Amino acid sequence: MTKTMNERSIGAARSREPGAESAAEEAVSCSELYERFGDEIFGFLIGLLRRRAWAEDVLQETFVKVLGKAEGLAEVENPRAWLFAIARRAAIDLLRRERGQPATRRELEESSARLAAAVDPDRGWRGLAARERRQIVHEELGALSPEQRSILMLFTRGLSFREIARVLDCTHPTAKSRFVKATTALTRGLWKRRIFKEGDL
Amino acid sequence: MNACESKVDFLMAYRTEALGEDKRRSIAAHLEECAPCRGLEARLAESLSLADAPPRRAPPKLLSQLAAAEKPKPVPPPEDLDPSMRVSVARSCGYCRGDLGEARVHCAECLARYHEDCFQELGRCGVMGCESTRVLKPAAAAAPRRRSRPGALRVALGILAGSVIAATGGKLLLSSKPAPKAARVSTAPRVADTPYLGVTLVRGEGFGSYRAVWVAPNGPAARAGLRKGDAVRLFGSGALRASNSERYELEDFAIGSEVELRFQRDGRVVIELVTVEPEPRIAYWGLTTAFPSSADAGEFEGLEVKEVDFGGPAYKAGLKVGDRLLRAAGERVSRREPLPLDASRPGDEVSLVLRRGQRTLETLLVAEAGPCRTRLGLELDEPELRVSWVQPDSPASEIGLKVGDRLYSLQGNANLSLDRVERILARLGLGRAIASVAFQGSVDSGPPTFRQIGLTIPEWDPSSMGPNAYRRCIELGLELLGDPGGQRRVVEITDVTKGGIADRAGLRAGDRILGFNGWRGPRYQTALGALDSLPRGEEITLKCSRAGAAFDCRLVGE
Repeated sequence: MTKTMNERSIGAARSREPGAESAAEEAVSCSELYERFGDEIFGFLIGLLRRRAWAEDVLQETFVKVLGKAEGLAEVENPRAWLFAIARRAAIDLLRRERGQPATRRELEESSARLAAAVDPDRGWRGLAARERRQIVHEELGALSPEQRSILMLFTRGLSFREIARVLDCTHPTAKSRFVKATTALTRGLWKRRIFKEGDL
Repeated sequence: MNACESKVDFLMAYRTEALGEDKRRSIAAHLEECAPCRGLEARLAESLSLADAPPRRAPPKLLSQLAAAEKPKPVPPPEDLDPSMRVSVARSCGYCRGDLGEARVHCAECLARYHEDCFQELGRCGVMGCESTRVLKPAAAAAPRRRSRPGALRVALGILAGSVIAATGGKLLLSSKPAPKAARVSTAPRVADTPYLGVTLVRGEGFGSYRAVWVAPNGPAARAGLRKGDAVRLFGSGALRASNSERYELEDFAIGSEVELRFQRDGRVVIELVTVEPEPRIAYWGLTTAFPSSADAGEFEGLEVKEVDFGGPAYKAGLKVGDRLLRAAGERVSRREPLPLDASRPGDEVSLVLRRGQRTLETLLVAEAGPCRTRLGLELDEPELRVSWVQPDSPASEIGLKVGDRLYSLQGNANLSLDRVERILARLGLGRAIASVAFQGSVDSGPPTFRQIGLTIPEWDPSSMGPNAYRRCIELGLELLGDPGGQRRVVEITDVTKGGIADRAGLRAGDRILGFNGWRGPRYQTALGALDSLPRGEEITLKCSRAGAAFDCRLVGE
C-alpha cells in the first residue's frame, strides 16, 4: 500500500509524517518506528484510553509485539497503519479487561462531570472558546464505544479510508459505513447538549 | 424541520468520502435551500476536526529500552557480575558424545541432554549422582515409553481384552477387528510384548492349584471356557516352576507357547490347551472423530476430527479440529468402517491422509500409552473402572491403589468412564498437578477412600504459556508463576530445576523477576511474550529480587 493521499477534504491541521512510503523500502528497526510514529500512537492511545498510565502500558505492549516481529518488519507495507492496528487492538483489549471495575467507571464519571461543569452550554457554539469546543467534542467522544471513538480519531489523524480499513481489518466499504455510524453517534451526542442554537447556524 | 431531521444524522460525514453518492447528492440539494442546515453542517465538520488526538511526547525511556533490546551488546562481561554465573550448555549427547539433533531429550532432574535413543539404551541419566530415569521432551514427538516389565500374571489386563471397537457416539473404541498390516509400518521401537492369558489367578488349596478370580472377557482363558471362581491347574513350559512360587512370573511363558489349563466344569475335568498371546493394550490416540452430519451427506468427505487432546498423539501429529480424514493406513476411510486404529498397541503407527480446507495433507500418527498409564501409572478396566494394573513406584502406588480397587471419582467427577478419566488426566496443567482420587477397596461394602495424588506432568499448559516460552523455561530450568490476567506486575519463580542453567546462575524458588534485558516490571504476558520471541542462544539478563534486595543475573542458553 503506497497510496497515502488523503481521500477527504476536511481536517485542516494534518501532521503527516513522511513515513508510510519511505519506510516500506528501507529496512526498519523497532526503535526507528518508535522514533517516527511513537508520539502519534501515544497521542492516539491517550485519546482512546483517557488515562496516561494505561496509554504507557499499551504503548509498551505494542512495541514489544513489534519487537517480537523484528524479522518481518521490512515486509510490512504500511508501518503506520500496522502500528495503529496493533495499538488499537491492544487498547481495546485493555478496555474490555478493565470494564466493569467500579473504581474505573467512577473515576471516568467524576472526571467527565468535572469537565461538564467547566463549560456553560447555554452560550451556544458561537459563544464557546475553541478550547471549550474541543473539550465538549472530546467529552462526547468519551461517551462513544472505543471502537467508534478510535475510527473518528484515526480519521482525524489523517488516515485514509483504505488505511482505516486496514487498521480495522475490514473491507473498504465497511470502514466507510462504520465511520458514518460513528459520526451519527457523535452528532446525536452533540445535539443533545443543545449547543447548536438557531442563532448560531 | 422535517426535511432537515432526516439529514442531520449524515451532515457530519457530508464532506468526507464515506457517504454514498445518492446520499451526498440529496444532502447537497437540501443544503442549497436550507440555510440553518448549512450552518449546522459547518459546525459539525468543525466538531469532527476537533476529534483529533494530538501527538503527545512518547516516553523517551521506552526508546532506549527498545534500542537496548534490539541490539544486545556484544559480550563484555561487566565487573559487577560474578563470572561464574556465566554458564553454557554442552551441545553433545551425554552418552555417545555425538552432535545433538532435533530429537534430543533432557534428563528431568539435571537437564543433561541425550539423543532419545541413547537415553533409552542407557535407561537412566548418566550424570554421576543423578541417575534419573525420567526424561523431558521439549520437542514435539515423543517416542513410546519403555515399559517396566510386569511381575505377576497380574489381573489380566481386562482392559477390553481383544474386545470391541465401535464408533459409538463418534468416539473410537477398541474392536476385535485386527489392525491392517499397513498400519504397522513402524520403525519406532515397539513396546515389549507381555505374555497374556486373560486370567487372574490366586493361590488355591493344594500344590499347583489356583483359583481364577477374574477372567477377561474374550481373553484366551475365557475362550477356553474358564470362568471366574474356577479352581484351575496349569501345565506347560514354566508352569511347574511357576506353581512352586507364590506368584507367576510372566517371563516363564513365551508368547506363542501353549499352556494346559485343567479345571472342573459340570463335574468333569476339562483340559484345554491355551496359546499364550501378547497382551492387548489400549493404544491412546488422543483423537475423537465423527461422521459428518446427515445434512451434508451428499458426498462423503471423510471422517471429521471433532476433538484433539492437547499434547496427545494426534496433537503431535499436527491434526486439527475440523480436518477430514480421507485415508488411513493406505485405505480409504469409508462411511461404514471405523478407522483402523483398533486393537492397536502403543508404538503402532498409522499414516493418515487428510483434507484441511483446500489442502490435502499427510501425517503419521504414533499411538501412545494413555494418560492413565503415563501419568498415574495404573490401568483401568471398563466398565466398572477396576484397577487392573498398578505400576510400582508410581503416583498410584504411592497412595495405595491396589489391583481390584474401583475408581470412584477423579477431581471431584463421579460417574466416570475410561474415556472421561483419560480426558481429565490429559487436561491437567503444567508442573505439579494434584489429582484427587476416591476409590473403593475390592470388597465393595466400605465407603470410598479419598486421596490426593501429586502428579508431575512435563507438558505445557496452553492457557498460561506459549510453547517456545515453555521450552525456554525447560531449557533454563525455570518454572514461573505470574498472573495470566496481567494485573500483577510481578513474575515469581516457583521452581528451579536442580543443576539447571537457572540453578547454576544462582536463582532460587521464590525469587521475583523484576525485569529482563533492560525491561523493568514486565507483566506476566509481556514477559512470556518477550521470552517467547527471544532468539535462540540469546543471553538473558534478569533483574531479580530476593527478600527485598535486587540483583542481576545472566542466563546463557545453548
